[in-house]
Amino acid sequence: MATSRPAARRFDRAFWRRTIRGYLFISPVVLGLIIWTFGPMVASLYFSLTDYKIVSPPVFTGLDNFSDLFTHDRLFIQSLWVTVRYTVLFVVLVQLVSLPLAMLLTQKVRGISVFRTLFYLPVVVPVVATALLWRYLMNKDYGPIDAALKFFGLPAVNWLGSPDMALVSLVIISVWGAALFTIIYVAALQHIPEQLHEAARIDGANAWQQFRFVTIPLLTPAIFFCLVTSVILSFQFFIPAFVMTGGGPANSTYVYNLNLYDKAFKWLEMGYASAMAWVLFIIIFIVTLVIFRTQRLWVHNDGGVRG
Amino acid sequence: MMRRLSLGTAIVAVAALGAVPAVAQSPSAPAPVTIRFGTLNAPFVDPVNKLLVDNFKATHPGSDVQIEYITGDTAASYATQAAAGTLPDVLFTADLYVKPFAQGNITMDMEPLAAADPTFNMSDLYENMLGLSKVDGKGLYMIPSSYDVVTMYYNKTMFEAAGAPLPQADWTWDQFIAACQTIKEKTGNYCISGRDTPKPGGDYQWWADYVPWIDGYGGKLISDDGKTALLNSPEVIAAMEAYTALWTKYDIAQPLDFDPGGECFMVGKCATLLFIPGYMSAMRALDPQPFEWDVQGIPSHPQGRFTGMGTYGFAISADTKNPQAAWDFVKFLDSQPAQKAIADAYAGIPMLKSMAGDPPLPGPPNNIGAFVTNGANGILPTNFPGNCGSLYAGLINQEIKDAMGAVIAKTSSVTDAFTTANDNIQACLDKG
Repeated sequence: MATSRPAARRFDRAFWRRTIRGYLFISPVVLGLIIWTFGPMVASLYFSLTDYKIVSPPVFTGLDNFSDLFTHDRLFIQSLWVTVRYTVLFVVLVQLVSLPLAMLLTQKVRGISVFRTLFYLPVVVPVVATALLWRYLMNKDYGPIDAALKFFGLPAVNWLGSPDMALVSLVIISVWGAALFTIIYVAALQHIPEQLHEAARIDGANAWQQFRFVTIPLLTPAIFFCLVTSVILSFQFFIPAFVMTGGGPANSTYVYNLNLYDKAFKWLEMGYASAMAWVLFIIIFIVTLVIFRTQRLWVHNDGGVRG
Repeated sequence: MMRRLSLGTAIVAVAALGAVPAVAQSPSAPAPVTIRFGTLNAPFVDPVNKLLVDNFKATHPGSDVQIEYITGDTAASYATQAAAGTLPDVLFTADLYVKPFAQGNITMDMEPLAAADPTFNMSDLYENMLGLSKVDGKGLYMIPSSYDVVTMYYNKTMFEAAGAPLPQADWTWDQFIAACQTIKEKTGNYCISGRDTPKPGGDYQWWADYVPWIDGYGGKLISDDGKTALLNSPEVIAAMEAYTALWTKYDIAQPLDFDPGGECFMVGKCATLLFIPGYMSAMRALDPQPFEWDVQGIPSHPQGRFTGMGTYGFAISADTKNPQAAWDFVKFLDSQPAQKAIADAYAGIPMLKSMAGDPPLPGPPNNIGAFVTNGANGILPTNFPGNCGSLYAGLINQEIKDAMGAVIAKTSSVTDAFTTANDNIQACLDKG
């Protein structure tokens, strides 16, 4: 019968109308990504292959910037090492603090939502304001933290003035502001079926055994997510070091992004800074890839199937 | 020299500056034009901004000035605008920016405009300040604002309370250190303020602080031919040993992490401050005055008396479409009325030799003449050739800063730290 051709044509028109409409709806986001994310990334990749001082046109130099980075720039290795130390300290500490805190915040206690809000508040405070506040709190001469320590007969700590303590102090501040991970763990804990804990209890498991054999395995997807996110965030650490210590004392808090910022905006070596940015991207990519590859060994997805 | 001043109160005499009569211009009124004026929004510059704008509008009827305040780092802002072709007609600048801005095609050479202008008397400017406006001794890339020589502000009340002798014009650093030790012992206060910049706490990395010590010990940072770094020479090592001893041995310089909640001298926690004349206005604006203070010349080093000098000023951008109007705008800064207004506001010391005999202003400070006499000891920052940076930014700055930071933090000896810095700088110089 001749009706199949008109029906197909009608179908095609409807299909294309829907398709075009869909693309139109997502076009603002796609255009935004192209113009403000992928476009600058491509430009940055090009500049990384040039000697570009902003005030003069870029001059193509090939891989010279990357080669200088690894062979002539002592601050590259030094700042990368500071960043790695920060990352290890932050990632470990934030997991150790967030999970127990999340468990407390899932208790059936009156006013628990108030506690959750209070613990989440540091996340919404602007980072610069947080840094300025903590700089005052940690002032070894006039700050309240050392005043309290002295009041209890304890020695004052030179939080930001000692090369040994300064990086640790920045880690503490970052962990204080990392309630995002706590909230993720709260959500994950709330998704663990109570029947599994009941079943474990019936089988004679105590609280620790329930935590170890029921809670932790079912939390591994959340732990995996928090691990990857905290690693990426810590490699991008910048504002507190910039505001509070400027990289000192004695470059003990001179993180990678501070080095990148100095190269870009103080030395006006935009090409070199672009190369640094791409090296950082590659490092984060490799580390993330390694973590992803390990997930099959320890992450339990829904249904208890590994990887 | 441009340093961020940590001020608790506003600068004085804006009204006085606003009442300055305009400089006479040529009889025929120039065509109306709009000038874009890029400048800082800072207490020590605001009165000067107003001065320039008011004079331009008075002498160019129908013309307008669009003020564009710099946000963030000055050099980075201008570099970005230069790349985009959107530089203002007139730019705030300072001695540290003269050479990089000129070489980066951000500012134009104003010497032809100055030479063609009979109302602008370049010979009346102090030669050492005019030198800050030149690149390799040539051109005119900045109209300087003030005779800025680093001089000592001292807290007379604190000195007297500690029983320490007051600073004298012929003092040596040894005598000054001895007095500082007395103050530290008797009052617990430090002696040398870190100026609350670049971060709250002590500071050691401003070239005007440490280069005078190097000159004072007979040293140099680089050989005359610009090919050999000399940071590890015996003279420089001795100078840096003596300079860093202010922290590591005598403990009289504001520690890097000591944040008394404001600029240390102003809040009365440091006995002295080594800084430029513009700070007078900030101190005078305090009401009531927290303590009695005055100024004195810098103490002498073993091989002479040396102090840093520099200034901020204004320049014409290389992109301007209105060079003549921009010149009319900036040149007023070095006129007698403008210089008198700046001096009357205690915002600077006049740049003009013809004003040297003007009666001194009422104190404080009572010894205001020290700013001018101290000028005889002024030195300029060392220039380094090539692409290794300068004492303000780049590899040179980073290496020296890191070396001194390591010594003051007691993680390295002076010899080791400066030998490392020297080797790294030499490697850059060798690359050419």
